[in-house]
Amino acid sequence: MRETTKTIVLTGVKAPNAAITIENIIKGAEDRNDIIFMISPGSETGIDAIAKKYGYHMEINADGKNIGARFAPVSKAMKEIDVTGDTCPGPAITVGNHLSSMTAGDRVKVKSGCSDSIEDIAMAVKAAGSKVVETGNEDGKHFLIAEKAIKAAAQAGAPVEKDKLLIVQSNGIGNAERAYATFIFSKVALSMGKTVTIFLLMDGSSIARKGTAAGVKHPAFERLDKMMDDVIKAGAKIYVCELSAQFRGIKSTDLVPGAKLAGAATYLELLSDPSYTIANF
Amino acid sequence: MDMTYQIIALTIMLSAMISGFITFRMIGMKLAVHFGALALALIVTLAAIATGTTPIVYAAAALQIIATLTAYTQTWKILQYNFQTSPGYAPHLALVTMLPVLAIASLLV
Repeated sequence: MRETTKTIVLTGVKAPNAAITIENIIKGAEDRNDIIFMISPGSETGIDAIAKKYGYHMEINADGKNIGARFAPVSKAMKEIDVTGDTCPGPAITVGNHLSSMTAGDRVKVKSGCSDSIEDIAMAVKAAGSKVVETGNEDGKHFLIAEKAIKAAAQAGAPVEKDKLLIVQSNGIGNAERAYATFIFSKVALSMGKTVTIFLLMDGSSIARKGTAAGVKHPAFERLDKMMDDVIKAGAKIYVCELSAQFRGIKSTDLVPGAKLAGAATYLELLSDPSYTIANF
Repeated sequence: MDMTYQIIALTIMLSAMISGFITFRMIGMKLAVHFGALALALIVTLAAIATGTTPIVYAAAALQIIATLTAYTQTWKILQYNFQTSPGYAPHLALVTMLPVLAIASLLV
């Protein structure tokens, strides 16, 4: 069950008085629940040091006029989850459920035998507004440490530079024209200086299987596998839906160099990133 | 020699030329080998029906079987991994799969 969050309004109190008042409130608090201090811009000087001193995690949210400084107590114990063997979307859902039951500042360590799975979880953590504070290897397994944070509200009217292209390919080599379009559009976008990410799902996942694209050749274009290789070398990222690959018996070792398995969290995070223009083939 | 089975095979191959051309546009040059075999089988079958010569009927039957085999070899990877688009290939494969039975029947019956 979530604890009650107190909101204390200190707008108009200038620095360093705001910090002194906050310290006194924190010191005298009977319980260690989340507290939001509403302060005026410029009054936040020194309050991060107070949060650290008293074992709180601090998060600042600005709404233009005022600043909301959220103080969340840092838990002493860090939860640990091992998702080795779980396949998409299992690990992302498991971690998402853990994060939703945690309070801001709490941390969870997630271990997996698969690095792709950890990357997918990292996407899910970021999409939920939380942070990945550490990644690495331990006892032959990959891990990440996620810290719960409160998702900041999107600022309305903020300009977004759409300099990235996400190509979603779900037809595979069964439709040669769509398969070609995937890499032709990628080439054009790369030449325009855009960042290109290709997500292969459903039938599209087979394109990244070694040898499959080699059987596709149109007289007017170079062979599909060569075109895919050019695009990878030019810097495009190719993700293959883990679930679609599993449906077709395709393993990560079957994929062409440069393509990697990714879960549903990665796909959804890419779709919801406003800097991406999305093209479907 | 009874030409009934060869006439049925010819009918199927004519239909298969249409479904094959539509399939060809979806898959591209990969199907060229099969399309060539099918066109050749159609011509030789016509010749077999027109002349009724036993060696030409045998040749037509052999080409009909080859045309069927090439349909599967050229679409195998698609059938193996493409669950959404492979139904587009079903009409053509269903048609050409009748050919080996008719080819054998034309020689034995």
